[in-house]
Amino acid sequence: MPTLHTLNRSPANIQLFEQLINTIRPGDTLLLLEDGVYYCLQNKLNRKIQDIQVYALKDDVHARGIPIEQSDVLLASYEDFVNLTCENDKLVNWY
Amino acid sequence: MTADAPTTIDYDLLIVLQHAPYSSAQANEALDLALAGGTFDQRVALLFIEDGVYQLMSEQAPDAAQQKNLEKMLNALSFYGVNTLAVESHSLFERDLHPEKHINPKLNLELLNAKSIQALYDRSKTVIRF
Repeated sequence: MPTLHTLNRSPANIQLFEQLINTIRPGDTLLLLEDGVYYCLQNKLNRKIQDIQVYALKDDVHARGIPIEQSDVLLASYEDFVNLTCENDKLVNWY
Repeated sequence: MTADAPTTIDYDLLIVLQHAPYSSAQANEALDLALAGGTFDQRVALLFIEDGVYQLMSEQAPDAAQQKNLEKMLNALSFYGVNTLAVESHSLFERDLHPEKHINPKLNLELLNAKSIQALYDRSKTVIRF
C-alpha cells in the first residue's frame, strides 16, 4: 500500500525526521514542502532513504534560493502534487 | 551580576533571527524592525542563528509563492545604517551551507562563535529574538 509522505519542517527538527525514517517504506514517495525543501542541501536524506523517490515542491525550492543541481531530488509542480496524491493509497503529513 | 569590568554598549538594539524565511512571518517582521530602528538612528545589530541562517541564502525567488523577497530587504539594510550582520558559524556548518557557494555575496557578514555571541549580547542594550 504505497503512501505519499509530505514533510514541511527543516532538518533542525531531528525527532520528526527520525519518526519519518522509522515509518517510511520502500516504494513510498516523499514530497518536501515549505521548510522541508532545505533537506535538498544535505546528503543526509540520500543516505537514510533508499528506494524512495523524493520530490521537492518547485515554488518552495525557488523561493528559498536552494540550488538542486547535484541532488537526487526531483522538482514537483502543484499539478505533480495532485497526481502524487492520486497515485498513492494514502497521504501522511509530517509537520 | 558578576564583578567583571563594565562592557561598552555598542548597540541600542540586537535582533536575533532564528527561523527560516517564508514559512512564517517572523523573518519579515524582524527585518521590518531592523529597518525601523535604522530609520530612527538606533544602532542596530542583527544575529542570524539556527534556521535563521537560511535567510542569508542567495537567489531567493519567492514571487511564485507570492511573498516579499527578504533577500532584497537584507540588501537594503545598509541604506538604513544597519551594517552589523553577525552569523553563528556552527549553524552554517550544521546545515551544509558554504558562505562562498550559498550565501548572498552582497552582505558583509561577521562569523561568530558561541563565545563572541555572548559578547554581542553583552554589548547590546536591548535584545529582541524572532
